[in-house]
Order: sequence, then C-alpha cells, then structure tokens
Amino acid sequence: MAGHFCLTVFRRIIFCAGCFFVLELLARTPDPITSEATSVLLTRARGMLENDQSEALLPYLKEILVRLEGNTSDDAQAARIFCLYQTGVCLMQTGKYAEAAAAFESFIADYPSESSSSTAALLAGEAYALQRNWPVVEKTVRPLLEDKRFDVKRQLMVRQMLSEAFYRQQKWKEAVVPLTEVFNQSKRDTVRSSSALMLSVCYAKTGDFENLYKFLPYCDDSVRQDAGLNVALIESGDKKCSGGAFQEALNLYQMVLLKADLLAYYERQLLAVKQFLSKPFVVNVGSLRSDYDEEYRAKQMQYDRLAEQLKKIKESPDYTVDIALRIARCYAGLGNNGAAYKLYNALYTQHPEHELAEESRFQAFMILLNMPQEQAAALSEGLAYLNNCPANRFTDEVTLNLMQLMLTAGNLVDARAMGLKGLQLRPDHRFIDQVCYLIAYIDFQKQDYEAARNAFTEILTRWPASNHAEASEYWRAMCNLFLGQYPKAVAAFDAYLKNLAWPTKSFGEDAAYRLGIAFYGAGDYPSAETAFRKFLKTYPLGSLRSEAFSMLGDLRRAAGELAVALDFYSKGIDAAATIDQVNYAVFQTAKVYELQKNYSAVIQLMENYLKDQGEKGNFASAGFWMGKSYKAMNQYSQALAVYVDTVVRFGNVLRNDSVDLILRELIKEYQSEQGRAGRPGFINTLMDALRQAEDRKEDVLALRLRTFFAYSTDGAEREKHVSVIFKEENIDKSGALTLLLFAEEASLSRNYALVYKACSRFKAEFNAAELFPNIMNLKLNALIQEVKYMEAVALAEEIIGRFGYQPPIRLTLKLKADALRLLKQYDSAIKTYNELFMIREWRGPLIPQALYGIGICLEAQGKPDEAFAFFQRIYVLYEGYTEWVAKAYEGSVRCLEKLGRRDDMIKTLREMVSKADVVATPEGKIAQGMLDRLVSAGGRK
Amino acid sequence: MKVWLDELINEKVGLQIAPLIDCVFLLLIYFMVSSSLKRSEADLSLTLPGQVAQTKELKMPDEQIIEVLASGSIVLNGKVYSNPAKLDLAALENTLTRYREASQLANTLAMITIVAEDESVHERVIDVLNVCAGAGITSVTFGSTD
Repeated sequence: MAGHFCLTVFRRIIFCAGCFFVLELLARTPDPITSEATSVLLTRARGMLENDQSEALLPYLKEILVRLEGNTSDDAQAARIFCLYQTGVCLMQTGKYAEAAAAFESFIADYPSESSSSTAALLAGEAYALQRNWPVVEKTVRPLLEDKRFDVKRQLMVRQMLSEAFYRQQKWKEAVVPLTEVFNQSKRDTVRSSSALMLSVCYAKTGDFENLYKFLPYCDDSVRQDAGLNVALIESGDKKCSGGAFQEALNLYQMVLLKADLLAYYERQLLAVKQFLSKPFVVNVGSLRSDYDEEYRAKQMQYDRLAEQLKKIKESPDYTVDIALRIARCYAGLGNNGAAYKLYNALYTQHPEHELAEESRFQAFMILLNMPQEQAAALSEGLAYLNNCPANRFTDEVTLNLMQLMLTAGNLVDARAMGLKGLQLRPDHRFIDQVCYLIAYIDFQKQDYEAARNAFTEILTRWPASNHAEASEYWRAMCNLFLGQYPKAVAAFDAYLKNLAWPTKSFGEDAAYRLGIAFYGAGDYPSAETAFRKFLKTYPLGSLRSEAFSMLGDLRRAAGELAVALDFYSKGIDAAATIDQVNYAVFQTAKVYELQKNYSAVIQLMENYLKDQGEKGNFASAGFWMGKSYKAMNQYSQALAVYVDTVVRFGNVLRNDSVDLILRELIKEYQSEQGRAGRPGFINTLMDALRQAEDRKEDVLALRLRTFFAYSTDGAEREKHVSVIFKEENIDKSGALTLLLFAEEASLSRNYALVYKACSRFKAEFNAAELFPNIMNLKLNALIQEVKYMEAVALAEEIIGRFGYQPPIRLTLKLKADALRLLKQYDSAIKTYNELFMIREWRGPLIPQALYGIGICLEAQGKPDEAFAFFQRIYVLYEGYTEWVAKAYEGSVRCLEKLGRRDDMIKTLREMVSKADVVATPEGKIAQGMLDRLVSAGGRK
Repeated sequence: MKVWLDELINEKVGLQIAPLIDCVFLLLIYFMVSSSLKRSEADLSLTLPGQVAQTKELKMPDEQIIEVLASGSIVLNGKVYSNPAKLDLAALENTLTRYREASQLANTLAMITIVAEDESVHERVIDVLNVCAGAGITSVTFGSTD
C-alpha cells in the first residue's frame, strides 16, 4: 500500500517537472512581432488588412506605432498615420467602440490637417453612436456639416448621424432640419422611411400637426410599429383633444398601433431574424465568410434589439382600453354621444376589472347626462356607479350630478337624500360647498325656510370664499322674507347689496327689488317706495320692472291716489315680461276701477286683456271680473252670459282649472236670489252647452257642466248627473271641480280607495289648483275613517304647511285635531282645536265641533268639570247646530254624572228633551230614557 | 134783556170734567186694545239647567260676535233673529243671559262684539245693545265687517 502511494507521488512530480520544462521552452522562444523588422511588420500588416484580419492585425499596428514613436521622418510619419487610422478601423470592426473612438480622436488630434481626419471624425462619431453617447456624437459630428472634403454620400451620413443624435436627445426642433435633408436626399427606402418616422415624431412632439400629417404617409410598415411614433401619436392626440380639435385627435388615436398588433409584428420580425441566425455559413461561389460574419453580427444585433423591445412591450400595460377611452372622449367631444356611450359601456362591461373601468362607467354616466332624452338612463347609470364603486374616484362628481339631475326632475326629496349620501360617503367631498348649497336650496324650495336659512348661514360661515357664497347670502335674505321676518330681510338684502366681496352682483336686480318688498312687509311704506323708485332707476330694463311699477301702484292706491296708481299699473302692464306680471297689473287695475265704480272700464280692460293674451291669460279671472262688473251694472243676464261663454270656450281643456273657479261662481250665482230669478234661461243655456259638448264628444267640458248641475240641483235631478259622473273611467277626464265631486261621492259611499285615486289624480294634474286643500281634506277624512291616524296627521301638516290659513284649512285643522285626539295626544289635540278660534272669519259649524272636541279631550284627561263648561258652551250659544247641541247635552250629562250632580243631570236632561229638534236625535232618545229612569228612581219629575 | 146780560156777566167759569173723563176712558180703551204685553216665552228657561262652577279661570277661546245685517237681521253663531216686531229679541236676550251665567261659572268675562254692516239700520244696533244690557253683559265692543 505504502509502495503504491510512493509510486503515484513520484509520477506526479515527474509530470509537473515535464510541464514546467515545456513552458520554459515556450517562453524562451523569440516573439515574431518584436523580433521582426518594421518593414516586415508593415508588409504583414498590409497583407492582413487585405484579408480583413482585423483582430490579428491590431498587435502589428500597435508594435509599429511604438517603434515609430518620435520618428519625424516623412516615411515614418506616413506609416504612423496609416497605422493609427487603421487601428481605429480595426477596433471598430472588432466591436471595441470606446477604444476605436479614442484612436480616432488621437488621430484627429495628432493630424488635424490630414485629409482623412474628417473621415476619422465621422468614424469617431459612429463609434460614439454605437455606444449611444449622443451628446458626444452631436459634438463630434456637428463640425463636419460644413466639411467640403466629403462627397454627397458622406455628407448624408453626417446629417443622418447628427439628426439621430438630436432625435435621441429629444432635441426635436434641431433634429428636423438634418432629418428633412436626409429624407430628401437619401435614395434608400429604409433610410427615407426611418427619417420620415423620426420627422413625424419630431413634428408630433413640437405640435407641428400640418407637417406631421404630411410625413405620416411615408412611414411604411417597417417603421409604423415604432413605440416612439405611437407614443408621439397619443401625445399629439391628447394635445388636440385638450385643444378641442376632436376630429384630428380621433384620427391620431386611430393611427396608434395597439399592443396586440405590436406584439404580432415583433414576433414576426424575431422569427425571421432567428431563422437567418440558425442557418450555418455555406460556401458558394462568390460568398465570403467575412461577409457572412458581418451580416451575422448585424442580424444578431437586430435580434437583440427586437427581443429587448418585445420584452418591453410585453411588460408594458395594455393600453388598448386607454386608447379606446380616448377615442370615446373624442366621440363625445364631436357630439356623437351615442358612439361615445357605446364605447364607454363596452369598456366597463368587457373589462370590469380594468383600472379604467370605473372611469369608463363614470364617463358613460356623464355622456348620458348630456343627452336630454336619456335622463332616466343617466339616473340608472349614476346609481349603478355608486352601487359598484362607492366612495371611489368619481363619487363626488356622480353624487353632485345625480343631485342636480333629480333637482331638474323636480324630485326634491331624492335630490336632498342624494346630497346627504354624498356627504356621508365622502366627508371631504370635493364639492361640499355646492352640495350644501343645493341642500339649502332644496329646503327653500320645500318651503322649510328656517332650515334653509340655517344651511345658507353655514355655507357663508364655513366657505366664505366659495362660488356659492354670494348666492347663499341672497337666498338667506329671501328666507327671512318668506319667513315674514321683514326687518331681518331688510337688513339682509341691504347687507348683500352693500357687500363689496362681490362687486358685480349676480342677484343685484332681484335683491334691489326684494328690498322694497321687505320694506313693504315691514310696513315701512315710504322706504318701500324709495326702494322701488331706486330699483327702477338702477335697472331701467330689468325683468322685475313691471312688478316694481305695480308695487308703486299698490302704494299709491293705499294712499288714496287712485289716478296715480292707475298710471303705475299701466306702466306695469307695458313693462311686463311674463304673463304673471301682466296678470298682477291688470287685476290690480280692475280693483282700482271697482273702487271708482267704473265698471265699464273694468269690462273694457278685461276684453282687451283677453284679446291680447288669449289662452295664455287668466281668462277665468277675467271672466269673473267681467261678470262681477256686469252684475254691478245690473246687467245680470250679461254677467251670466260672460261666465257661460268663458266656460264653454275654455272648459274642454283639462288643465284649464280656472274654468272650475268660474263654475263655482256660477253655482253660487245660481243659488243666489238673483240667480233664482233668472234660473230658467240660465239653465237652458247651460243645458244647451252640455248637449253640444256631448255631441262634439267634448268629455271634459261635458263632465264639468254636469258637475255644475250636480252641485246646483238636488233629488232625482242631482242623482241623474252624479250617476253619469261617478264612474271610475271618468277620473282621467275630470277637471278639478269634477274630481272634487267625485271624491265627495266616494267619501259618502265610504269607497275610500276611490277617494285616494281621485286625490292622486288631482295631485298629478291640478297640484296648484285652488281646490287642492278641499280634496285633500277628503283624503284626510278617509285616512281617519280607516284608522290611519298617523298618516292623517302627516298629511294634515303637509296641507297646512303649503296653504297656510286659507279657508279650507280650517277643516284640515279640525281633522288634524280629531286624529290627534284619536291618537290620545290630548294636549296637542286641544292646541290644534284652539287654532280654529284664532281667525274670526273661520266662525261657523266647525266651532261647536271644536268645542265638543276639546270637551272630549278634557273628559278623557279626567277633568269632567272643565269638560262640562265646553259642552255647555255649545248648547248655550250654538243652538242652530242641533247635531252638536245633542252631543253636547249628552256630554254635559256624562260629566255631571261623574261629578255626582244628580239634580243637575235631571235638569239638563229635562231641558234637552224639551227641545223638539234635539229629542229627535239619537242622543235625544237616549236622554229621554235616562231621564225617565232617573226620575222614577228619585220619585220626582 | 138785563137779566140775560147779568147772567152773562156774572156767569162762573168752571171745568166740565165729564167730557174729559170720557176722553181719558176712550184713550185708555184704545191703548188697551192696540198694545200687546211683553211676555217671556214659556219654553225658555232663564237659568242654566246644570251649573258647575270652576275653581280657576277657564280659557274659553271663542269670541261671541253678533252681526247686524243691512236687512235688519241679527245673527249670533248662525242663528238669525229677524222678526220685524222684534218678538225674537227676548230669545236672544235669554241666550245671552245664559252665556253670561256660564261665563261667570267658568270665571271668564262674557264679552260681545257687535259687527254691523255698513248699511245696517242704527235702530237694530240699539236693539242689540238693549239686549246685551238686559242680559247683564257689560263688556260690549264694536268690530268691523272686514
């Protein structure tokens, strides 16, 4: 074992020694380059040069240059020039560009006047270019532009290199001149195409779209895929788009190659190059290995470049959706909303997860907003956005726009809720001041002036510099006016008008006029007159001029200066811009004529008014005034004729609810003494009108006339008309008064579903009609009958809130109080009953009912003594209302029983049964029985 | 002749009372026949049937307004008093008396507002004032029809 080991070690030692000996021998062999004569080296170098042996040639050239260093003889210098130049060339050919550039720079520095120094500079530039050192390329090549030693081909090369240097440094403007020269002078299609591409990019980048369009057609398929061009096209499109040139932007976007196209192109190119590279060199006649190597190297470089670009494209995000979004934007800009919407819709439908899907949905919503016929779709789209992308990028815009959309549609409740939702989703809402402003405005529209005033005040406090601050200050003043707080309104309008924060006031005219109204409301008539006169002077062409004249007329009329008032009203009529302004001035004029008892003037005024305004005018009021004036002139038949004529002329149009007011007037006239006198002729005229209306199938008018007869007749005659009217299918053809009759009949027959239906129809068609509270009272009663007390109270509050203290509201108040009583909210009920006593004009049958209601409430609260007083008040002072007198006696007896006042009970019962009309009531009959029992039990009668 | 003259000169002037008495009786008979006695209606009680006095002042909100129309009619809470011979004024007075009594029991002041139309007869306003006085209501004011 030990012997074998020693043998192995010995063998290795022998092997190492052998190797060392061979290497030593090799080292001692003399170098052929260093040992040869310079002339020999030069000869060998030339031979290698001829055989393109660049790699092998370099050591010879270096050796020669070393040997010739410092030798100033002409031959030595010539040889050195040759070697130095060829060193650069060889280094270039072997891919050592940095060294090559240094060699050429050295050559130029040593031999600046040498004829080949220009070519050396050109080659140095190329070496730098191959290193992508573009600033140095520019610096090296730029001086060659004026070099006269270059032939045309070299000059073209100089320009080509310089232009690329500019291009790569993104010096777009500088690149244009050399690129244009290359494009014009080059004979090679590939060069022309490349320069056209670069020119297109330069023009796109510099915004020279005219030249861009000129050069784009020269970019053939070999360069169209260039990423730079596509980016330039997108950027140019963006510039055009932002400049409003949507058609040009669209053209540019449509020229951009999409990612899929680019990938396909690069893959095709790579495949072709790869196929070349995979083929080995085949020796053929005339084919050189060196040519093959050169081409192989070029193809390899091309392959690497293509592979790199393909990788980049693959890694880059897909911009197909982005381009589609831009194209859709162009369509929208061009007004082709349908195409834009389809594109946006397709984007978020087909790419729901794409980062631009949200924007697409938002843009689709915005497009629909701009399409008046697609407002419902816009609403759905906006709500879908909020459901799919709550609290996202465009939530602020969407909630605001939805709010405005709902506002435009008159849906105040939903609009307000949307505003609040927006603020809840986005506490830092981008348009928070605008949303708050709209909420305040909605409160104002809903006549919740207190809430609106608070909201406007908050806007002014939190965002004093907001665009809505001025409007908020104006509307806050309006809130004061509508709340009837006139001194506050005066101060607010005055403050607004004097506020220097907004010198050009958007509401200046309105505020100046309303200031006068506020003074008027505050009872400061001299200041009001001053304000109106100042308004007329400041805004001689203002849209409220007519109203200011009319207000001055009112002020002068109140002062008894009727002639002056008439003059102002006349100016008001002349200056009127709207029918409402005409109406006010005309009917105020009529009131003055009435004071002057100048009835013929009233008739003349109304005739002129009807002639001028036609169906636009308030013909019912005009007819009313004419009828009234004829009556005052004792021309009773003329009065009725005017009424009937107005009804027949305008009564077949459903929306003409003023006709219903005349019908009510006719009903009153019919029941009056004078009406009775002329009844036969009157009835005949209306009957004829009814027959003609039915012959002409004028259903609305026929129903209106039948309504007149139903209200004016009784018994079988009334039933005849009611039976024709009271059919469900007539609801849609019924005017305001007919619907009221319909609801009354339905209420009497306890068909509450029909009451609700008639009310809904009335609300939809005649929301602003004078009869609105009347029919709503029937609905209110129906709700109470159906034990829907809470709904009844809510409805009552809505009616009261809207109509204030108009006469029908007394019944609303009474019904509300009844509902509260039935809800056992006795204190609230008593308070509401008491409101009925506040207005003297409301005296009538509701007063004993209210007293009775209070009595019932007090009784339920365990206060029979107080309740008794209220019941007693009824039979002491309201004897005419038998039904309530009977109930009041009954209530009194009940209270007395609770108080243990047996004798008083008997006295009260005795008085009750002594009245024939009371004893005939159900309560009276019960009272009789009770009295008998009490007397027999007490042994006294 | 002388006798006749003396008698004439010495004649005593005296009042003949018989014809005077005749005249008085005639007038008395005339007035008795032509006048009617004012009497209360039998079915109207002057006092309230049941009386419950309140311990504190009750808030009775309804204002009592008596309207005097141009036609001469007097209206209280929808009830019209229009008898040309004023026979129904007693009923009005009775109602107001009961009102005054009820107010006293409620510790409130019975108040009447007379609202007379522009062309109403002054006499009818006086009638209402007399009725109020008869009922013991002293708080009477005048209001306008507007």
